[in-house]
Amino acid sequence: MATDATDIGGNETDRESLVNRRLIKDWLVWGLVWLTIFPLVGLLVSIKFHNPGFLDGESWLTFGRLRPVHVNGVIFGAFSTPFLGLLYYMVPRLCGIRMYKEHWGWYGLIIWNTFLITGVISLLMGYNLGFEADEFEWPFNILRFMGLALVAIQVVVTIHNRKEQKVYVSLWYASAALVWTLLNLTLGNVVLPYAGIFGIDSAAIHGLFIHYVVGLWLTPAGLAMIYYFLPASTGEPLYSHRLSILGFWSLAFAYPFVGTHHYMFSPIPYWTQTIAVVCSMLLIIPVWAVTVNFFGTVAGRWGAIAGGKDGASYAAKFCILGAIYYLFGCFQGSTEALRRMQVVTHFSDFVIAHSHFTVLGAMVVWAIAGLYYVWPKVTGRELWSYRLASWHFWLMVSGVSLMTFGLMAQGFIQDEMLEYGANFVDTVKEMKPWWVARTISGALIDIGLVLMVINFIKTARRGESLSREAVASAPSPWHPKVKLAWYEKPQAVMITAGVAFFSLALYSQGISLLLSPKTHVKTVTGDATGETIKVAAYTPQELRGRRVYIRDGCWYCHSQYVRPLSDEKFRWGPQSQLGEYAYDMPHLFGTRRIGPDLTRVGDKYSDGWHAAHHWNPRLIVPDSIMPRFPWLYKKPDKPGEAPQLNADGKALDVYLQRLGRAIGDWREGFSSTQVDTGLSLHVSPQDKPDLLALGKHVYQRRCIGCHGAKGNGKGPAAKFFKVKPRDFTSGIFKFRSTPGKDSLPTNADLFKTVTHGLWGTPMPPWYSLPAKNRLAVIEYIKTFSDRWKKERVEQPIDVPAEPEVTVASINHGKQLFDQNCAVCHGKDGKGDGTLANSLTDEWGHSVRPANMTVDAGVEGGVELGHDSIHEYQTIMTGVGGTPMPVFQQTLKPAQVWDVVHYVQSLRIKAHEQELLQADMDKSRLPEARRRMWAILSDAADRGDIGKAIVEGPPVGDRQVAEADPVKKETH
Amino acid sequence: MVPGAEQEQSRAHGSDADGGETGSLISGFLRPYTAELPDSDGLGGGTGSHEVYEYRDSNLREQHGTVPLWLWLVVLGLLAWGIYYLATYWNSPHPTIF
Repeated sequence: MATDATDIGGNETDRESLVNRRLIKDWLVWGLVWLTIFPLVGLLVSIKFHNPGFLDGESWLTFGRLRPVHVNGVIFGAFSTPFLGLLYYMVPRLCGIRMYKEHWGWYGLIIWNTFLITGVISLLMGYNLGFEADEFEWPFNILRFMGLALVAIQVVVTIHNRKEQKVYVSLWYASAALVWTLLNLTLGNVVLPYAGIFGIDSAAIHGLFIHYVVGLWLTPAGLAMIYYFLPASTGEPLYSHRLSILGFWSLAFAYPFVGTHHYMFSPIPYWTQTIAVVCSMLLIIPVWAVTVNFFGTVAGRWGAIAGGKDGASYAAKFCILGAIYYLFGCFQGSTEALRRMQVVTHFSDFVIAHSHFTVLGAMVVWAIAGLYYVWPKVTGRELWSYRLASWHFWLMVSGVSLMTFGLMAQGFIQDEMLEYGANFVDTVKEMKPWWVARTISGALIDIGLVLMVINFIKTARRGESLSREAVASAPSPWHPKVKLAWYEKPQAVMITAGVAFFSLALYSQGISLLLSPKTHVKTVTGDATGETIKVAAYTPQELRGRRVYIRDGCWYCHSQYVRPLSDEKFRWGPQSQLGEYAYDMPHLFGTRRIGPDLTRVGDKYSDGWHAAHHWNPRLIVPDSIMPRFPWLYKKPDKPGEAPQLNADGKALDVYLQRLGRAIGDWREGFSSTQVDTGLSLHVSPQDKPDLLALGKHVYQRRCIGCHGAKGNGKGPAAKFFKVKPRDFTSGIFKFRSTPGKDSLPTNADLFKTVTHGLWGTPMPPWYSLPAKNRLAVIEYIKTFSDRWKKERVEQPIDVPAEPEVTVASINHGKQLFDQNCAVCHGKDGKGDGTLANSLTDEWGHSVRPANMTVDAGVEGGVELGHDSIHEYQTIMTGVGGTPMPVFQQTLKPAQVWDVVHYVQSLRIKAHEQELLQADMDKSRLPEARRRMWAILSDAADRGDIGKAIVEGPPVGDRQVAEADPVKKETH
Repeated sequence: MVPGAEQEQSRAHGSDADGGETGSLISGFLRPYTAELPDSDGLGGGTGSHEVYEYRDSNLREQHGTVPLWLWLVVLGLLAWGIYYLATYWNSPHPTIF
């Protein structure tokens, strides 16, 4: 870039000027570099949403690593670098003296760029603290702090030494922003990751940090710029000093309290969230105050601004544009904090609309305004092309508007779809056209930014020389002494606004929680029993998996808290409890659900399902936009075999399988999967063609990856699974209510399997699909086998009323179990009988008998639950395609019920041991046992459960039970 | 550019003639909206809300200005709503959230 000094006939550091133009130019050049690069990274990220194969498969280019580069890059590179550079222009001119230790500015620039370059590389390499907007590791945080502290010292001392009597509002905002952010960086970079703050405390304080970055850095820094460049570029006096005061102090008071609104409905204490809601709404005051001030300033000058063709005019245009977006975006942000609004906006692109409205549409646009104003002055040349500037302006208008309003609309759409029960992947699919529009809008913005850079390069090289008067400050007499009110003094700004309000909010919203014993519990209420149980700490392998989860950015798309809203509890599982997060550091609540919430994902899918899914999500879910993670695998032992997870991949799987299990075995009683349609599921002939067409569509989107296009169970993901997907061409199904070995199941049987899924196998539950889709896919899979044409579906077997659950019933059941089942299932029902290792299914795949004792969803356990009727039917009709025989001819109904009760007792006993190991109060065991039985058995739920079972010794303690004639009598 | 003498005058008013607003939050800041608008040159007449202060080396000028009455009503409304909301929703209506 050409030097400008000779063009204006003096040194670059003009004696008549208070500013060091060379220093400013160096900062702004780097600002332009970052303004080009970091939004462009956002464009790459955006493309991945609708074309997930784009730049896929490389760890450093995966979404989870590029995303923090984009966010941090825009905040600290594209926005902050120009802002810091412009401080070297604004502060000396507002203070009437040169910047304190001016040469420190170059040190600051070197440190700042070193932070950005090395920090970004570290993010791409996967170094990530796991706090949103606070991802950098300590070496880069130190660099950032040093760079900012250097500038802060220069600014504060310059303001202190100023010759100008009054302190212009830009200086309030700039100095407060620097003080706030140095405090906030200490909070976020030191306290949060290294002070041993766990669980919801981690979330609460991080909520403060993340919003301090927005509200106490970006916002005041942006306002500092527009307050300067709007009146400077229009030549108009600022409309109202009083509005400036109202705007600044209301922002300084309310903003520090709002951070918790990122985690509404979480286990963070309710009153803290309420304060955040109120203060978020109070932010309407500063926003409206400053925008009235801006529009008042340009009132009557619209024509001149619109028609202006120099750098200052474009600065004014961008200032006004940013003010409009600021007004929209901040009102959106305030109302978004309201609880009802959160339900239909949070976790969706509505949030992203807000961040782009404010950060891009307002803050970055204001920085651009400053660049248009200052660049001609520091280069000493007129803006090279107003046409290019005009193109930039209108590309920005169209790009930001399309992006933000589109994201708002799609956010509403997705959250409304979810609220009314749509399948999650369906909502993602619905977003894809909108995401294409977002990419287009991002491209418009990036093209505009490139045009600006070209224009600035041309300006520096070929622009017409500015007159000397236009470059240097015009001297005028100093003002007489002016008495400042306390709230206008820099000390008040830095101490009251900068430190006091910040500290008050930090205490109220963060430290008070740390001091409260209520937030530090390491226990939860067991979902099945209602009893208090201890949460286990992470194992080393789980912790390693958690680090992988953080490193590869899973948490940017998957939240980890289930809100107490009906649709979420029936979609994901029971509401999150405070104690579940006791060992989480960092917390991983998340702010976005591009993928489903993972709070309760543990044991929802099998290990093989995860292995296939992480290798290529679209193998299993064709509509998925999740990245591939091939770096979590080692090469397969033999060609054609599935790649094997490496240590990181296994650890990630172990971590995922732990999630949500701290509340005990909740899945057994999860209402959404407990669907039994009885005999009513009949398909009328006239509906069949439509159902088949729909079923084919559903099959291709949900089932084809595992069961294959031909329905033969050889889909592309099948090679990852130990339990192979069902071969529909055989017409043999596992769980049926119809009599006989491998009989055809009823629609109701298949509906239950599809709805419930098969625990411990790759077959997930599909309760989130509309019922007609489930019925349709059932009709479609029948087309793969002739059996459905040749054979008739028998009537389901009779299931007599379940007798009382008693010790005698259980003991009798054990005798029958030992005689008939133990050879495969083992004498303790753990699936380890003498024949267990030699069993194969109809297709020659090795299969193991079910382990009756393990939690719902654990591999090797029962697949369709322990509930009485299902187990009765399974014993009577066998398990299709497996060695599990039909006992209908062997055992009488009463005997089968006894076996059912014994099998249930195995699980109850194991569950009791788990609860006792989790420190449940032993005296509460009878009540806990009663509740567990009630989940499994209608008979128990009716109150028929025998007293001996509820109040007697642990089930299986036969010596005690048999020695007690009273208890023995109960059968 | 404002002539120096005119500015001197306006600055003098800035500290005194405006009811001492530079020293008192109440008397100076809560001035009711007077429906005064900037003069055609945007500089005001040198008194009250139209007083203009010029920052010497930045060429920035600043009116003392007003806060519109409607904005005060917004402020009062939001504060009243905030108190109501805090009182109503301080404690969770949901038994499982403390």
